[in-house]
Amino acid sequence: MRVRKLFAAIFPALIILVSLDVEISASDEGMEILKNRCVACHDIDGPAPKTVKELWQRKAPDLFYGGLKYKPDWLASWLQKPERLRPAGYRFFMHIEPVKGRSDNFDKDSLKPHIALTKKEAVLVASTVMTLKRSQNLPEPAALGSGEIDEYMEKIKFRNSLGCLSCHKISPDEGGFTGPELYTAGKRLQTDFLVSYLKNPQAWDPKTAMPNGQMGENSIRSTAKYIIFLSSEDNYQ
Amino acid sequence: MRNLLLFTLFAAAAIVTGASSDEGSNAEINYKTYCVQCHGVGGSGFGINSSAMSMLPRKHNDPKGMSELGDDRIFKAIKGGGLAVASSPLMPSWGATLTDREISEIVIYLRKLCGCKPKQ
Repeated sequence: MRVRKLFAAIFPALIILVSLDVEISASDEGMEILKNRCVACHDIDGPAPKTVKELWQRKAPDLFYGGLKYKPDWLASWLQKPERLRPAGYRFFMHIEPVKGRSDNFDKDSLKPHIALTKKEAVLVASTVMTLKRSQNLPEPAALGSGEIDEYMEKIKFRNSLGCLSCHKISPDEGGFTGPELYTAGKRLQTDFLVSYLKNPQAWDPKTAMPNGQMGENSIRSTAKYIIFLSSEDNYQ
Repeated sequence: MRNLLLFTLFAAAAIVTGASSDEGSNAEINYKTYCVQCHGVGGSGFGINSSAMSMLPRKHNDPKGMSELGDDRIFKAIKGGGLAVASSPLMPSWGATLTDREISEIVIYLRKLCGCKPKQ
């Protein structure tokens, strides 16, 4: 009887310990993959480049605040089948070439593909990236609220006043070549990150090529909602 | 007036420290990083993103057009964006990205691209 009682008391604790151990091992394994295969290009320690020369040394997006930026499901899925998010490459400025009589172009052959991970590796890495939250003094994200937006008007703003379309694609065939595509951003990015980044990109990344739009709170909310809409099933354009 | 003073101050500092001869200046690398994507390699006006824009970016290699602009106006446009000089809203504000000194260096660099001086 005593043995049974003792077992009943210890068993839940054992379960917790075993599951904790699995979590710790999974995290360790994810970190191991990150350190072996990712840090040659991605920074997992920070800080972000503070000068333009440092910016040119950076090969890929910083991951040291990846846990605040990415949606884990998207990340795990993308790592298994990585597709370029910026048509002209992350370091577009190194790939642009003049073309006589036409707009500049980029040298596709000079762009290296991102490595693909197995499903198990991708899930482990995504889970570890979610623990990376090293950033400070970030702008507080504003709540988006439930108000609706006029998608048509937002698109006009995107093209003619905010100018987002100049660098970012809002569909595979519409928009510029140097910024990350926005038609998947709603699936890719955490909403708080999106709002905070729109508010002050330089607080996250001082030398980013994303200009500070100096938008008011209302404009930030409607822009974030439009970006989320672009990734949604309601966007049938 | 404040921008004219800022530009004069930083341009003088840039010249004294050798920025006008590219020594120690970040103008070229900043131009390649932030300006070329719209304004084009060498300031042609045909940047890689220009086809997606509703208004074509200014040609920085155009001596006629660029000589119409004063240095202080260019400084103000880079720092505060097109709207700061009643021009295209598609020109963003780079004041949060570039220092005043870096902007002054870019103004000097633009004068090299156009091979021109502002009309007096």
